[in-house]
Amino acid sequence: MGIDNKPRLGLRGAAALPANSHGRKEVGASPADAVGIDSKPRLGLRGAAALPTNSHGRKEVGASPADAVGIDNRCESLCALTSAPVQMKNARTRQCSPCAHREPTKVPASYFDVDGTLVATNLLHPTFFYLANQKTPLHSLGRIANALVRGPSLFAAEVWDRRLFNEALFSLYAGMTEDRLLILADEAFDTVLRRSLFQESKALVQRCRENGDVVLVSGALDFLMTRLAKHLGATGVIANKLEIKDGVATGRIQRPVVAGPEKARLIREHAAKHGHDLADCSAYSDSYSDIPMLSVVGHPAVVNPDLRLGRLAKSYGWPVLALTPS
Amino acid sequence: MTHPLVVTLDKKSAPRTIFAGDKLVEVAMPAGTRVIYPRPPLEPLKDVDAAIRYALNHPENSDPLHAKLRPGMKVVIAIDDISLPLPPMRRPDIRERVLTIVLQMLSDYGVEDVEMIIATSVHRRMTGPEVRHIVGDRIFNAYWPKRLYNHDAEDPKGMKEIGTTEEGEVVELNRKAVESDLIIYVNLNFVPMDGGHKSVAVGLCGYRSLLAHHNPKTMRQCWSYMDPPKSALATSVTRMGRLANKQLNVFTIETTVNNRMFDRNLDFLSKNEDDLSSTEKAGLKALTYTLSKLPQPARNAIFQKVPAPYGVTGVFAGETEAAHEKTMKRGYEQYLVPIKGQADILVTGVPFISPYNVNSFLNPLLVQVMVQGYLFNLYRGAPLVKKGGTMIFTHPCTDQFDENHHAPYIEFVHKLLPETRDAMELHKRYERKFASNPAYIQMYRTGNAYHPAHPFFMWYWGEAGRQHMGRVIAVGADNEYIPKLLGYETARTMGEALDMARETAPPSPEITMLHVAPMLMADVTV
Repeated sequence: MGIDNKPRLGLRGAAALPANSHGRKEVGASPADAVGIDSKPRLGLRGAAALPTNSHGRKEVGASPADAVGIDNRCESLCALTSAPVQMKNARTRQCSPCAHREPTKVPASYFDVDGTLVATNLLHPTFFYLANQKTPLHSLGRIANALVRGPSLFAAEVWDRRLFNEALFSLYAGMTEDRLLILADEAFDTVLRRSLFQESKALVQRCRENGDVVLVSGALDFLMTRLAKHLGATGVIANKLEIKDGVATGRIQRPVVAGPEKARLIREHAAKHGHDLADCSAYSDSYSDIPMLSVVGHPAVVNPDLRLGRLAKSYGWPVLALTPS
Repeated sequence: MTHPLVVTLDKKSAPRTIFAGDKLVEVAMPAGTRVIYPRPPLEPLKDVDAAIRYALNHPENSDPLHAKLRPGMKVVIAIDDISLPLPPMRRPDIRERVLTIVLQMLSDYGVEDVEMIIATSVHRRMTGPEVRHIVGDRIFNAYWPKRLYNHDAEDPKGMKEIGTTEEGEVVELNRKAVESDLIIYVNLNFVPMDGGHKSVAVGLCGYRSLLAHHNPKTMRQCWSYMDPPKSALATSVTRMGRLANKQLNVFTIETTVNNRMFDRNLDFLSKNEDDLSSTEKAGLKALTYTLSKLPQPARNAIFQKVPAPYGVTGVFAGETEAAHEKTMKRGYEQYLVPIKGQADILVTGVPFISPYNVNSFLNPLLVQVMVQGYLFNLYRGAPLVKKGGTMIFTHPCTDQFDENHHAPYIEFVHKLLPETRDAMELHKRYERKFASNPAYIQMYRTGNAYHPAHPFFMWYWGEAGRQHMGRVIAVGADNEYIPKLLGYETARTMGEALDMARETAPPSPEITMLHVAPMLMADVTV
């Protein structure tokens, strides 16, 4: 499946990452922006000190191999971790070493929205998990109370613009240490995401994987999405990423925010970079807000669609999938 | 002398009333037109249950069913899906009656490990209520869904290859059936292409096996589907079925029904319009008028929701080929109408239903299946229309699809057909990729959609007709682009269509009308 379980610290340590014009070290900003997923949790090995630092002294979650994601709002292919050729179905063979990763291929990709499409949860569920699992019950209570107070504004943001909602929601993470975020990530994944997977999600992803690459495109946080990608057998992730300063989340998310039309742009960018012909690619979503993402590919499909998306899918004759909650 | 069911019209003849989808239309046909009417329904069996028991105890070329049973054995009962008969049969469906007796016999002989599989192949999964309709409440409540379920040709663990024929055809069947000690196949034979080896070798197979015969090359060599010895499709299926029967323990139960599609009060639909009584004439007029005024969903409900009062005319069991031989004989007895000479112009109405749109809409691709697939193929001997001749049909060709059942059809019609109508090109360039589309496969596996390979098969289904006929003209289409996509010309009226057809026909062309439904077949001698 293109996933290498062995850690490769030597390949992509923080020091090996290129710095951008602002002095930020960014995964994916170099030819080798081939940072993928390492299945072994190594949170205990490296604390914030091991993370790359940008010019503002901010450390970015996922920017090191330690957190095993490295996304920076663009896709990181899991297969890029391995230097061995990846055997594709129908005898298509690709060299997926970091340096060869960019070679144009004609393998199609399937782009999946996550919340509501592959899992029954939404962004609120893992957020609540984090709020409820703070240092002490008192801290948790305080954060939950704060979230409740901001409930109406979150609701208004959701109605107004998905991007605003994402930004408002992730501001609730302000002040959480990166260590805590990462240490709890496995548990959050097990407790919230894995249990909420639709019964058919894994089989669907695996069938798509037989045809080519599978990329999760989600407004959720990168460190959760990489775990989900690994669990499902997806090859890449495009997800939101928290901004970290001095080992603590600032409550802001890095630009560009993965939501709405931006997803479409990121998919185009990903396809161009990885040699996918968008006409051959598929996209799956449950939400009307993902129309741009569905519109850029040749084979859109909707999963348990909301009312407006369902109507649109019917008009355009897009496949409508009904996946079953676990 | 012509057969009484072949009527030659004269100047005084009344207009013919034929189907145009879920409406009826009156068409004035010129003098000299031959109209072929269906045979009246055969007399049904008086005691169906007794006939079933007799068939099980006196099977063809096989030990009786009870002699094949032993306690503790694994039995799989495969059942024909809802594509037969059309429309669905009034309850109790003959499959329910057969199953009731078979299950009782299995129980009497200590066979408890029984699973029932709806042999859908790559057809859509039947819904619970549809399954209930064909197996009855008692069986449904006892077995559904754990021990009575739809075949899944895309279940990676659910299929098993059992071998390859001498022609290289891969036989891959439902694993549960393959690994059972006995497969009992409960068939309902509607047309002569049903049943026989097609039951197990197609009903329980997957895409890999279908590739062997559901392709344009094979379809072009079928003259016709309804005449198995002259059908390359049937020949291939027979080879695969024989291989399956050699390796598996198969007991076939085939049943035939008459052609009573409609209740007796609608008998006028299958009668010569000149012979109708005044009451029948009034009834036909009233029905035609009512259908023309009703909205489409109401018309659909009238035809689709009212089950047909088919009568059972035969039950045959035992070894597949021996039992099927008897089935074929009974089928031909019901359907064949002898006719001498082929037509230059063939005219027919396209009814509201095909095997692939039970409880849904006859979409444009299925119109093509009906015209160049089924209706063209309703012959034995020689095609009813001459090579290069013209076929005229009445149907609105509405651009409407059931987005659940026929999801992959939509993309096929609107994305692939504009690229090419060439079946070979579609097969080579598009089929494999399209057939592996994960979204459509998911809809097939867990929804109620046809497999993504199915629209291709539907297009190939019309291939023999497409190769044979020179022109096809649609009368009364509500749009022009769908007929054009399908390769058809359009005419507003039957008169206009006949004038168009005459332009390319020899002088004084032979015009023949196939007056369906109910079902009939032309036994053509040249």
